[in-house]
Amino acid sequence: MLFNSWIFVLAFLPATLAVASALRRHLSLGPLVVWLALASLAFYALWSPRHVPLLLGSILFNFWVGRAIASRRRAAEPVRGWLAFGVAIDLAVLAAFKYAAFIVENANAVTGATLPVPVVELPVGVSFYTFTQIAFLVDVSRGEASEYGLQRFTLFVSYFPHLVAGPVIHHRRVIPQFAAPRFCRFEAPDVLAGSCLFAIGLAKKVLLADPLAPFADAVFNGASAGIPLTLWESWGGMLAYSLQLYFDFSGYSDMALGLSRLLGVDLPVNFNSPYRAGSIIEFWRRWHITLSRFLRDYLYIPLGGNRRGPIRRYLNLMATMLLGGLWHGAAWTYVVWGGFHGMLLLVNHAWRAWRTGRPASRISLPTFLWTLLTFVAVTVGWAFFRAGSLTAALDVLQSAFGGRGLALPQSLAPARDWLVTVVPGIDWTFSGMFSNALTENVWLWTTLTGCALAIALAAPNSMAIADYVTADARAGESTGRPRSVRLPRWSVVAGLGVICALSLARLQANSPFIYYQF
Amino acid sequence: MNFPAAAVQHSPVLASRAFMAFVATIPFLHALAPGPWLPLPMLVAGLALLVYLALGQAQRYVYFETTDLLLAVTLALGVAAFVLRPGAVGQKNINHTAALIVSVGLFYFWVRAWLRVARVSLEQVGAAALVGLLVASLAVITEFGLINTTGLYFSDLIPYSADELPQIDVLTDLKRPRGLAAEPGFTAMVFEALAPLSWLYLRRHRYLVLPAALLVLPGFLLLFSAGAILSVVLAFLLILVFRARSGTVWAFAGVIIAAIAAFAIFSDLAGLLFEQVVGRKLLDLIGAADATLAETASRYDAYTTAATIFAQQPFGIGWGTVSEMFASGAIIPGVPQLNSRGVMSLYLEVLVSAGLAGLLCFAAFLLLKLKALARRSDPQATLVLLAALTVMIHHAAVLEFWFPMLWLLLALGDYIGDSSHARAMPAPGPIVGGLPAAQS
Repeated sequence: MLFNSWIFVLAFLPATLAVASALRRHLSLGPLVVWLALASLAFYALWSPRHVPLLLGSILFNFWVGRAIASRRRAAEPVRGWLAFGVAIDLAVLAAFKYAAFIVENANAVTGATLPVPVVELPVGVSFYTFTQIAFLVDVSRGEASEYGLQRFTLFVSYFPHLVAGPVIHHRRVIPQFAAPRFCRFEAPDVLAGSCLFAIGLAKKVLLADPLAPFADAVFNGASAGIPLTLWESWGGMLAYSLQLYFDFSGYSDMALGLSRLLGVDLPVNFNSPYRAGSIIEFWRRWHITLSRFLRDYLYIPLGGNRRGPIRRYLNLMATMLLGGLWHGAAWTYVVWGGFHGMLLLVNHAWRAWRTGRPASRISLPTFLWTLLTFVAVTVGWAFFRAGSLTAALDVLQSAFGGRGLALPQSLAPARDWLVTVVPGIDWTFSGMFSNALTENVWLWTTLTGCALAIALAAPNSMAIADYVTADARAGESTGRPRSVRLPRWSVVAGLGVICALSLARLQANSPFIYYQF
Repeated sequence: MNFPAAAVQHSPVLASRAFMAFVATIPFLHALAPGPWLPLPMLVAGLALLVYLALGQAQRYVYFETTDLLLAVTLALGVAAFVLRPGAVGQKNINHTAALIVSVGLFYFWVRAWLRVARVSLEQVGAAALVGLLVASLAVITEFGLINTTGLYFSDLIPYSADELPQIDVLTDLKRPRGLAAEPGFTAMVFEALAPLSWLYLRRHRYLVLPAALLVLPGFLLLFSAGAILSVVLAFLLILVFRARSGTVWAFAGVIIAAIAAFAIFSDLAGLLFEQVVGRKLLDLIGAADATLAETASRYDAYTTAATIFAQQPFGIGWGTVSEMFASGAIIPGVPQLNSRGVMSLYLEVLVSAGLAGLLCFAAFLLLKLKALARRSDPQATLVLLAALTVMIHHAAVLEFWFPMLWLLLALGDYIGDSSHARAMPAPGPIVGGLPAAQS
């Protein structure tokens, strides 16, 4: 089931909230936790019924291993074996479902063998719930996790707001909230922030990401089909994809946070206006924050982090980014994307190290130039992330950097005389293959990307808006009068209401989120 | 009919709850009606009247004001017109007259009395309006999702009391929901009436404003009702202009108009809306469109024929005569035939039925009510004024006088505006809890 589907908005969500509210009022927390876990499994089953047993099996297995590790810790016995066993099985399952075909294909290519390539359907959310549980096992082995009951652990892993595409949640932060006083109480700040975040997320997905998708698809599918691109088309497609991916994934994350907030559970923030970052280091502190945090805590730091000298630090960083890239998908494009970002991070860290101790005024640039540079670098990286193959990605980049000339879109051909007058001496050429997507819809592309870029770079982000609308409610809480809420500005109320209406009007039957494939 | 006093006693709490139920059922203009002439709000109001008549309370509270005479004269002129004209009085004449008298009697005179007998506070009215509004919004959003995914309307699932349920596409491939009424425009009038009233409650429960807006605005906008949008904008601007005390307000009104104009000119969405919702109808009405929509064609026909009827019968042809001629095919000498069951405008219907004198009386009645509200500066009166003005403007394109919205708003205007009646109440109490102390 998709958050942006009518069945979710009209049936699943109201029913889940209504029953949860009734259970919270009249019964203890136990039935409520069971209900939400069942609702979460139903949510998952409606999208991917065949993979429910895998999810349940994974939950039961990790719960059992967690118990075993905890009991050995209590008895002061070694736990490394159990931890290795648990993590190995988790990774094996992930590998079997996500990387089997990739491994066999590459093995065939390297060895010349002709092993049959397995065709396995990727279970939705498998990367997310596997990582969530690996973190749990590691923390249990470190003695940093409490022992939870099966019901709450099941709800933690299967919790529908985060199940299929994150954010990657941490047991220490989330499970205690399933017993907190505000859990499913539907208090004013939660209702305000939750509905506000959900509306903003839906609008990001439906009004920005989905309309941008045809432009990105046209360019990258064209590149995959071997059609030569113009410079304009390449940048148009890459820019469209940069914005599509951001609004798609951050829209999903906003909806997840909003839904969870409605239930009185705070999920970790996943995005913080990443395209405003002034460096790649800052970008990774703002983009997919929960995954970055997971990779830092459970990969980079265990590898040694920055404690063993600069060379080892850079190697750790590169390894982390390569594996982070591979986590996104079983393809070399993702590995190259991870490596590209790893390289950017190395350069960024090296630059910082070199700059330390030097007078800042000699080497400083205006902030917006750093932001622009970072945005361009990230956009170039997305070419690998989106393209169907490395060849296609390099093709897009070759065109983007002038490898195929500087032809303008065909739709601007009528302006040739004017251009020759204004900028003489250039042999202006016009070409374009996407008659129905990019070049023939230049103005739509310009409007959409312009608006999306302005929102990404300049508008207050969703968390700021949610904080704004709940500021008084939270202030009221501290004074014991949570209902004493000042009305948010009319423009905010009307704006959110209107974008909610537009989003519903454009709600499509089947428009999955990009991160569902990971 | 007399209930034993011990069995049923007058309870203000129960009475106010019943009144709130009446307001909350207003969205059910056609859905779930027990009979074709008995929508749910009418059933609730009628039952309450019967109970209070039996308790002997209703008679004590129903009262008439001087301005009500104008309404009575309008009604009488429409009756006189068909009684006095040559030709048989048809069934539709009787039906329409009865519907008009019952609607006015029940939704205006009785509701005005009911507010007093039940000692309903304005906050209670607002709470009930909010419930009704949320019900209407959920219905619209749900039906929008249903029809655009499965093709199913609510009327395919639950009974509706209307036999004509038009299906209209908008923005190329979207279907317009009807909500709990037979047409989207009717449901839009529910929003116009209840949204301002709901503020009587929300102003003290502001944490609900944003969640409510996230349902109500989509509910209203997904109806794609051009008449409703124009009515709301016009009503806002009129109130702004009437209440303007500084250049800032005028500037604000100017900015709104400029923003709407810019949106209309430059936005693709507005272009589609203009083409298919507002502008198409306007172009059709002035005969400038290349092709006509069935809806606008019949509206154009209705308005031009109404003008012809008025020109030939300036004293009116009586309530229900247009409908009678359409239903039975009866030909009345000197009255042009109209190819629909009504003239699609409350004011044109009054003009055609009760003549120019009837329309003047009716207009005077409405204007006096508006004037009484406009004189007050308290926010409650402004909210009721806004709602009443919007509904009245929209009634220029909607005939259905048996809807409760307009009459309820007029009754509410009297209730909050006439403090002399409050003082004359047999059992004075906090009847208008939301008002300043001086008013109660």
